[in-house]
Formats: sequence, C-alpha cells, structure tokens
Amino acid sequence: MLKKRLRKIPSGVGAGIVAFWLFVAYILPIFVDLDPLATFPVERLSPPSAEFLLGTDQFGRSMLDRIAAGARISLEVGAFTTILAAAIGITIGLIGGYVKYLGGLLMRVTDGLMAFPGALFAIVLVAVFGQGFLQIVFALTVTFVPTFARITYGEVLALQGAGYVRNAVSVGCTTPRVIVRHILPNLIPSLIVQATFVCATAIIVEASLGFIGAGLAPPDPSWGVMVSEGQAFMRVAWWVLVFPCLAIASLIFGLCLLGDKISDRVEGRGAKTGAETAEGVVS
Amino acid sequence: MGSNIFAYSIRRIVAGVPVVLIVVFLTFALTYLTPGDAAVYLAGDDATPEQVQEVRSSLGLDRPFLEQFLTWLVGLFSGNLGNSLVLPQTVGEALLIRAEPTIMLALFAQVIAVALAVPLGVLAGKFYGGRFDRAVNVFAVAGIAVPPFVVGIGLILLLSVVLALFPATGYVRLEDGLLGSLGSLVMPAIALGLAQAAFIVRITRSTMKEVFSSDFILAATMRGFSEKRIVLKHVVRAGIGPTISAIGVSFATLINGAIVVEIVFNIPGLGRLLTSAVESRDVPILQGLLLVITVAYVLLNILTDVVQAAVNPKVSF
Repeated sequence: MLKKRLRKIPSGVGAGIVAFWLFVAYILPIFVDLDPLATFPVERLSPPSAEFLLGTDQFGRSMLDRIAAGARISLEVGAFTTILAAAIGITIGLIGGYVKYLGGLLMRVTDGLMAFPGALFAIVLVAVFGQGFLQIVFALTVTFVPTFARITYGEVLALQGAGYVRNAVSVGCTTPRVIVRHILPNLIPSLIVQATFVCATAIIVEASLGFIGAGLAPPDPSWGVMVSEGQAFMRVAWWVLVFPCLAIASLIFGLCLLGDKISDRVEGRGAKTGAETAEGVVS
Repeated sequence: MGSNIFAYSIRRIVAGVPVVLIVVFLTFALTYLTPGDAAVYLAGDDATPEQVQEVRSSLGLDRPFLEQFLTWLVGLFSGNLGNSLVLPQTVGEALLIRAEPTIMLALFAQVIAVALAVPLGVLAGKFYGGRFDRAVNVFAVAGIAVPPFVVGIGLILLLSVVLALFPATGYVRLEDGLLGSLGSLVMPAIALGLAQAAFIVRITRSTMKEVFSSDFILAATMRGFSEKRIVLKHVVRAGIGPTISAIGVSFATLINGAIVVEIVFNIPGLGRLLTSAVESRDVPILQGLLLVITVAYVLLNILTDVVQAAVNPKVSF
C-alpha cells in the first residue's frame, strides 16, 4: 500500500519534468521571440537579470534562448533516434525470428554491433560521417538498433511456442496476420520501456559528443556544446556553465523516472527493466 | 569441478570468436564509409589526381575490398594496427602511450564504485522499502541521470573553485609515483565512480532483496547465527553473482565515461587521442581505438561469465 503510493509520486515528477522540457522547446517559442544566435556584445557575460532571465554568455547571447533551443535539439535527437532504431530493430528481430536462414546471420551481425561500447561507437561513426544533426541521429540509430533487434528476436522465439500463437497458425492465420495481431501487441510493453531508456541514453551521448567536440559544433546551442564553452568561464560566470548542466541532468532524470515508472507498470509482463538492458549496452 | 570450469571457459572463448571476427570486419568496413580516402588526405590539398592515384596504389587502396581486408587482417595478427595519418607513431604505439591514464582512471573509478555500491546495495536490500533504501534508490536514479562529465564539472566547481582542495586538472604519470598519480585522479575517479556505482547498486539492491527474503536465510536466522555471519557468509555469497556480471557489463559505460571525463579534467589519455583523431579524421587511430577497446570488452565479458560460474555453484555449465 505504502509502496504503491510512493511509486505514484516519482511518476508524476518524471512526467512533469519531461512535459516541462517539451513546453520549453515547443510551446514557449510560440509566445516569446527566442533567438539562440542573436548577440548583444554590450551585455557579455551578464548575470541573470529581468532582461536576461538566465544571464548571457561570452558573446552576449541569451542563455534562456539557447537553453530552449538546446532542449529542442536534445528532444529531437532522442525522439528520432528512438523511433528509427525501434523501427529498424523490430524489423530485423522479426525477420530474424521468421526467416530462419537469414536469421542466424542477422543476429550474429547484431551481436557484433552490440559488442561495441555504445558511445565510443557513436563517436567513431560521427567522425566518419561528419558532425551534423542527421549524422548524429544516424550514428546513434546504428548504435541502438541491436538493442531493439535483440529484444524482438528473443520475444518472437518465445512467443512462437506460445499456445495462442500456435493456435492462430493452426487455424490458418497468415504469417503477417500472426505478427501484427498476435506477436507485436505482446512486444509493446518491453519495447516502450526500452524506448524510454534508449531516448535518455541518446540524449546523454549527444550531449557528451557536443561536450568533447565530436558532435554538433559551436554556435549550435547543443547543451553539451554549451557546457564545454561554459567551462572556460566558470570562475567568472557560473550561469554560463551551471544552467546547461542542470538542463541535461533534469531532462535525463525525468526520463529515467518515467522509464522506471513504466517498467514498474508492465513488470511481470515479461519486460526487462531499463537498468538491465539499456544501461549495460550504452553510454 | 575445476576441469568443468576449464571446459566452460574454452566453450565461452570459442563462442566469442565469431563476435570478434564480426567486430573486426565492421571496424575495417568503416574505412569504406569515409567520404574521401586516406590517399586524398596524405597527398595534400594541391595534389593532382595522378599524384593521389600514386599514393593510393602505394598504400594498396586500389586493390579489391576483400584483398585489402585480408592484408589488414594479417597485419592485425602480427600486432600491426596500421599507421596514423597525422601522428608520427604507429596506431599501436599511439594507443600504448595514451592507455596508462585511461586504465588508471577506469580502475580507480571502478574500485570506488564497487566499494560504494556493494555495501549500499546489501544494506538497501536488507532494509528494502525503508528510508535508507529509498535514499539509495534516489542516488541510483540520479547517478544514472547525471552524466559523469556534469558530475565532474560539479566537483571542480565545488572542490577546486569554491573550496580549493584539489588542483582542477592535469595528470601525474605512474612513473612519477603511484600516490601522486592516484592523487591527480581523485576527482575524475569520483566523478566516474559515482555513475558506475549507481548502475551497480541497482542490480545489487534488487538481488539482495530477493536473497534476504528467501527461506534459507530465514532458516539460518532461526538456527541463531549472528547477523554478521548471515550477511557475510550466506547473503553476499548467494547474491553476488548478478553484481559480478553488472561490474563486468559496466566496463562499457566505464570506458565511455572515462573518455569524456578525461576531457573535463584535461587528462592526456585515450579520450584526448580520440577527440584529436575525430578532429583530424584520423581513421586508422579511430579504428584502432574501437577495435582494441571492443575486443577488451568482449574478453572481459567472457572473464565475467567464468568468474560468475566459479563463484556461484548454481550456474550450470
């Protein structure tokens, strides 16, 4: 009883934080004119004030505007990566489970891809393909496809033996129908849990890439880039460094809480917790 | 029993071979994905197409894909990872020089992580659902949520800017004394160790909770064993398996984290090598880094499985 109530609070906090960042990234710009690149040279490194709520950076750019634009980058990297990686990964997992002669080969390649430590692999891919938004999403997608492929493949193999699936086959359901009506619905809980953690990890990796200078480059307002730029000024202008750090930490914290909550909900339905799956592979 | 474990180890190693081969192949294939090859880079900006072609054939880059792959593979087996496009050293030498700080940092951080996570996880499992357990849980989520480079910056702000306890950045090499070297790594190792601890403690906590509520612990309590003996001899031994594999699996996050944390604290390790290679598009260095770290990771996973099998009599092999 108490445990149930305790679980309810963090879910609200997690969802609330994520909703807050969605608001900052997409709703706020509708009402307020935000420009992450506009410079006010006279106002360089000015502390938080009524005019600049979060202060300005070394070029006199508004930190608030840059953080809002950075939220957009983070959320979009997370969302696109997750959607693409899930779509491709699920397809590979299904093919692996259904087309026997291809399955073995596909899953071996997946094993190989999975052996690469996530962030390192993404960094190398971005270095090879170039440091743009699309390249980063592509690199992260390649990194996370195996995660989804593995889960799907495992569940497909398990479900093929399940009574109701064998029944469906025996009454003459076509393979596509079995997949769409009987297999996929059972995959959804574990895939949603996985998706939250892949999204969080993708955002962390993008920020890390920007921070070490291997991802988006200045003047793009990626949070990682902002932290890296702010480090030089930490003794004179804490706000340039602290606000992007808080932004990253809070968004990921929110996503993790949300993921934990979802995984609690679907627990016992065969879903692995995020900690066991996503974190081991990644970042 | 001993020979069983030996046979199991051999089986695990054999099973790892195809994975390593695929890793090697994928790493090699990266060269083919690069826009513009090494020849264009080496020939310089104002080289004529003929000159570029000359460099290309001298490097063997005009040979068929499979032939190049085999040449590279033969080189690998004799320990030759190729030449850097930019640095004066070979890839192998460059990696060796930069490996020390990274390995020191990773080991130090992992020691901190295990020393922190195992006791916390056992106690949280013992008092599951209580106040202490909830505090550990918050730490676990926060530790995963806040990336190590942000923790690192927080530590610099707190310990060197505000309190002036530690020098903010830099690394003392091992040959100048172990203590000095470790001293220069205290902050980076804490930054990295906290994230690792957060990951490990989640696993320890949930397995220990199961063990504490199992019948044989109840039986041991009823027989009147002291609490200390029960925890140390029975609970930890029965529940340490998943923690061991968590420590092994977390090597991937450890290396990734070390690379980024090195940049925060300006440590001249593999992370620096990586970022400078990214900047100059030094693909051989990138390949070497990726290959060496990944193969080390695969081997470590095998080792983890073997250790786990040795510790836990329940693992069948």
